Amino acid sequence: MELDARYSAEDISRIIDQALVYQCACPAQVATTLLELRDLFDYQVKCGEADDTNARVHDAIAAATLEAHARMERCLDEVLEIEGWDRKTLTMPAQLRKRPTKSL
Amino acid sequence: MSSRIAATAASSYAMLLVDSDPHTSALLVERIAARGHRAAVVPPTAEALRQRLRFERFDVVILDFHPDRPGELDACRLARSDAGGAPIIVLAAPDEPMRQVEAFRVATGAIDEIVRKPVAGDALFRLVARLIAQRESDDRAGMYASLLSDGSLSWIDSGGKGPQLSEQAILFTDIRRSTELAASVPLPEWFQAINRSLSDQGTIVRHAGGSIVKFTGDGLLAAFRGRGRSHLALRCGLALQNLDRTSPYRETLRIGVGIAEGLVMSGLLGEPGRQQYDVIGATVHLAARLCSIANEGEIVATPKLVRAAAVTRARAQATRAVNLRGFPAPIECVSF
Repeated sequence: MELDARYSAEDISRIIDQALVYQCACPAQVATTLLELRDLFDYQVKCGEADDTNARVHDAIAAATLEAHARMERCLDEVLEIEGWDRKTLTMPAQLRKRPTKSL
Repeated sequence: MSSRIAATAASSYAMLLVDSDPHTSALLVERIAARGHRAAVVPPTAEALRQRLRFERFDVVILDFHPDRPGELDACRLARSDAGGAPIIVLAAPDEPMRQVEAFRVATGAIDEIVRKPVAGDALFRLVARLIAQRESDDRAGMYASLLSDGSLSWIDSGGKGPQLSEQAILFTDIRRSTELAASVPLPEWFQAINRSLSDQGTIVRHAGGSIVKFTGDGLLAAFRGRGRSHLALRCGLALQNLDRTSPYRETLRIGVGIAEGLVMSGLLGEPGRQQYDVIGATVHLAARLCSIANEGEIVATPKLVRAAAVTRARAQATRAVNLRGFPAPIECVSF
């Protein structure tokens, strides 16, 4: 099984970088979750290769991770769409940049 | 002259935010102010940062790292050199930006902590408080260390063993006519003059390979160990004599030097919990007495030390015998 990522690591970093100090850190939270799911997927791949007896356990984790990852990427699509981000440059809309922060 | 806008209360800090994005920086400043801290913003350019740090002092420097502007990390180097030792924190997005910042930290040592974006809750402010407390603790430790003599520090470094017997060359210096000067020169001026002289003497002792056991008010006690100790001690005495002859304050402040070599015991003296490193023994007393009879700019040493020192360029006067308080028979000595 392979994880199919539509948002590159660079895309996710860019979203998080902008969301940090703005009122709406929601895209950053979703993006962070995507990174964590990718870490979990990588973990089970490595762990599965090291220990065949747990193959079923790792298959279960991999399947769930792939499903969750795909779902969270679609969630990120929706969030960016709702907030009006520039999808090509992944730039936060100006009106969100003017709102006070609550993430720090 | 620099002005410190640092905190007046323990929980209120002055923070310098280095950020090229005016929107993020404004919002961070707002959050910092909401916690009762003070914040100033500067763009990550050398000129702007240098200008800001020239006139103000901050408790912490926070750089908001944007991965599309990696060159901005260089601001950390300047902050490290110009921010008076303030801790430096970098905020970075996870994954590649964090790796970039970590690589920069390893390569330059110019970053103390990296905080992953998005920063949750009070994490940043807790970190700031921890780093500032750590710095204050380090500063305090540094001040305590500066109060310790070379001997005390090396005793601590050696594992704090018990008293030890060893052959050492002992050198005393003392400011001549100090009682008279202390009575005639304003005390702040006198205090400053003594410090200046002792500082110069200390530099010479260390340069000569000796260690300062203690400062004695208007002089010092230094020890030289190991092979060549007599040679090093006499050369140190000659260098001190040269200082006495050439220093800008020689018109008012002159020193005498006494040197002897022999068995001494070194270790901690005093009551439990309040001890100081010291050296004791007849050799120490002898060196002190020789110092007490030395005239301005004069070195008085034992013939034994002078022979062992084998310093050919030094021109010694004839050996003479002197009566020294505490010693039952006349003691032979040589003057330079």
